[in-house]
Amino acid sequence: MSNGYFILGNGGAATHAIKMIRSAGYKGELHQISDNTGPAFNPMIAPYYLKGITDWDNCFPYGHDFLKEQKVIAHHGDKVMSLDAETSTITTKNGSVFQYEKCLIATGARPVMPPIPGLADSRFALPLREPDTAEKMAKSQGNASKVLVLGASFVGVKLAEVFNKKGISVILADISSQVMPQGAHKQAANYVKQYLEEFGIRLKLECALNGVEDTANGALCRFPDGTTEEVDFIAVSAGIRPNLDFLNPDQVNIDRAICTNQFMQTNRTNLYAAGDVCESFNRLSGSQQWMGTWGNACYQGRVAGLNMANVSTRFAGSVPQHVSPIFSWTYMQIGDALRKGEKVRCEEKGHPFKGPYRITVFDDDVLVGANLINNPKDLIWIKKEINLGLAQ
Amino acid sequence: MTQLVFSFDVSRCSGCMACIVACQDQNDIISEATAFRRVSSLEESNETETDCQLSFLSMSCMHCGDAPCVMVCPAAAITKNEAGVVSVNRDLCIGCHSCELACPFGAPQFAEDGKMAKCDFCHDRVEAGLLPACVRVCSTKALGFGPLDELTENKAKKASTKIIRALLHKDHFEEKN
Amino acid sequence: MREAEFTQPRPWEDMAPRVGMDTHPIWCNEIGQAQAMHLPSQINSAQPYPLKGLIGFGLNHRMWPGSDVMGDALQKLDFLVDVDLFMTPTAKMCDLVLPACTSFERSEFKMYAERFGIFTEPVIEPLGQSKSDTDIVFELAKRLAPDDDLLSTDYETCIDWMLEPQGIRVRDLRGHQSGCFLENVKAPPYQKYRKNGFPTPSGKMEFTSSRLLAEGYDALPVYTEPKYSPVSTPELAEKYPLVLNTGSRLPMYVHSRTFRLPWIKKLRPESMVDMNPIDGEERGVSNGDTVTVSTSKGSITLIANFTKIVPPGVISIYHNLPGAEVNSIIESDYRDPISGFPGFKSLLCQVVKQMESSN
Repeated sequence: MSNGYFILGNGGAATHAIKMIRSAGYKGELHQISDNTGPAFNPMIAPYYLKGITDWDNCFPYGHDFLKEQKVIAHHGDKVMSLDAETSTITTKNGSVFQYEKCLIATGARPVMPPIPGLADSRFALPLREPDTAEKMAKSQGNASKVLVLGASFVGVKLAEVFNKKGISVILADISSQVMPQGAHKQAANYVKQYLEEFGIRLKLECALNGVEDTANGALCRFPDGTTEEVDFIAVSAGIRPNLDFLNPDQVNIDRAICTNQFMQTNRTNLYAAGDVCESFNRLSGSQQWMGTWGNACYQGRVAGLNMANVSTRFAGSVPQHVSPIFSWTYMQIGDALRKGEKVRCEEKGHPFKGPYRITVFDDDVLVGANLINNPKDLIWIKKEINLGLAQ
Repeated sequence: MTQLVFSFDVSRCSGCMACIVACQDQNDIISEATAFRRVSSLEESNETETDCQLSFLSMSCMHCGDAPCVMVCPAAAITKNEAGVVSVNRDLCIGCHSCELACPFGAPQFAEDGKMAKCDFCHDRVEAGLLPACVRVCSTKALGFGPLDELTENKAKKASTKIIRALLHKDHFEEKN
Repeated sequence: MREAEFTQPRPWEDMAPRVGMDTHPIWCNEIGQAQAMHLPSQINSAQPYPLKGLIGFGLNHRMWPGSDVMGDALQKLDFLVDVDLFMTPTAKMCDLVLPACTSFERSEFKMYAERFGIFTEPVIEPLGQSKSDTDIVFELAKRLAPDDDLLSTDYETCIDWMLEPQGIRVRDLRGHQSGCFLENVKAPPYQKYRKNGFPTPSGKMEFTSSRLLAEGYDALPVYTEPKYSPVSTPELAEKYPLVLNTGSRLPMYVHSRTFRLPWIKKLRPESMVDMNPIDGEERGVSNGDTVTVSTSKGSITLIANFTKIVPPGVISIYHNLPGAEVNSIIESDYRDPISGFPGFKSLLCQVVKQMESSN
């Protein structure tokens, strides 16, 4: 006997799925399993909370009453240990066994802990993704004077700014030769690096930490050039990996993340996936890609929810894009600015220290990607051009 | 809910940009921040480039039915009310610019405090029975506003009148010949 | 003559000839004014007589073709005074600036059409030390013409004197905030030309102009190429092939007004030159590039703005752009020979892309 519909996870995808399932008229049992204990948390907001721009409450954008209003049976503080797609069964850490009629996997992703000796065990290594780690970091930043931000991802750059503004000395390190290696053209990345350095942030690029050792007050970091620095804590922002360990890859197709079709279904018709845990259609490349953004998660959750409620809807896919305010700059990337190939050429215009800036990337004279800094004017036509040149 | 909409008659707009100035006045926008309304022009020249047709478009936030900004805002700071007006709660806004990236029309602007600001349909004025500032100032009556169903009905009436006239006119000529 | 009471203080024979009378006599006689465009020429040449001082009301040297030449000429004068609401670049050159108040701070008599009159009331007192233009005139008159029986009075008295033949007094208009219809005003006589003829030398409607003929010009309107044009000066046109048009109108400006308002500035913030994309492409210029516009007199820097409302072969630059004063690249004597009107809309120029400086 099935227990109804199950939503695994409690983020943007899960929330929108729940909304749609109910508004499409599903009246049956709707369960949610999440290892968090509070309302839906948006990890994107955490850096802004640390910065002091927004309250703790606002990191939970849908409020505390949402689940009750949607008549969701919440199993919080529990975790899915295994999912048998053959028998449609879920087994949880607390020993519960559920059978689902339809299930949505929206378990999101967790921070990657790079395999640096001593890092995983260090009490001062703080990833930033969940409410509890965000709270920890908020407390730590109050007393800190020097911090290592490990990973110059978008989150890492944001954190570097947050700590720098609090008067903390910041080292921003990455194994790549540029900041924001996921999507920034190296020329744009170079400008951002110069800009960060103007604020006194120390950049260590092409830097793979040799090791970390806890001391009484902090973490001693060993750098490849032989130097060491003691920091009050290490903010880990070196990427994320999807939370899908409870799945059997022989049963469910998984590439870098869970594979889905346009209806957000996995290869099992009663099993759906949405958000940072799955791959979806990249309209630019014409293929599946793991693209984790809050906006995507919300739209995918909505599509999954509608389909689960038997309202057939397709997810149109998306063009990879991202925006990050960095100090007083606004950095945007759209499409694929890292494209390489014989027919690839770039055009630069402007200079971010003097005014609006853009770098556009063309493949065989088709606009495929761009980075923009402080340039709202060019955003619209660049989006349009990229849309015109899409793979399908 | 009856969605409020702007209507725009492109045959009437002269590109005078009074709507932009009125909007800035109404919203006390000063100096650096951009206005919430934008006027763009379309130029079409003939083959010999000896003549040019100019048309103008005045556009602000479209208060979309399924607004992308509402969906992608990570802080749920943007909402759509019963009248269909999409507005931002600046206390919740974190200034992440996700709405700017998502909006197909370039409506979100950012004020000196880094938070988003945009056309809110002059909801204070509308609630008091007044016209939005841009509509009120438009001297050619190119800009209008009202509930969607009402405006649609008016448009349908106008269109059918035009069609009937054209049909009658055509018959008249055919008779003469 | 009563109509000339305030405009002609003495008989013509007793006054110096109008500025521009020698070079543009038709203009001066027909319009009854000096040709102000000729001012810098007369200041510099001191012919037919030198000019020592000047009082301007809203003087704006940037309006002149060759505005830099006009600015330099003004500064040569022994004494320069300007009356203005704002401390303009011209006012800054002056020995003395007399602040004028706005129309909100003073009264004014105004007629609309033939029968509707209004005497406005100020909403605030003049700010600071400012005065109405007419009060400034009266103050000057007290010192320069103390015996004049009208100028020793005040604005309202003089208006009363002007309107006396019509039987209207200012005090009757006060209290009508939106003006009023004036019953007693005598309308101009119907078909008055039947009795008095037309105001032409022959008294008749002239299809050929006897005045032009007398000065040695064609009596009929004949099209003449501008002094510089691809047709009249083909050699110059090789170096400067584009026709330069200036001073077109933008909806948010009225002459030189409203340029200071930040809201208005935002509507077109950059100093741009409007040009057709075809001319841009020929020159390797892209929309938004920084370009140099040059004439035989000088050059200015602007941003290229591609538009099809300007046909190929022509570029258009609006006046009063900050940092790019187009009047400064027009020769100061580039004037129509008959009227003295400046050739703002018909001269030659070239546009060249400026190379971007290295980062």
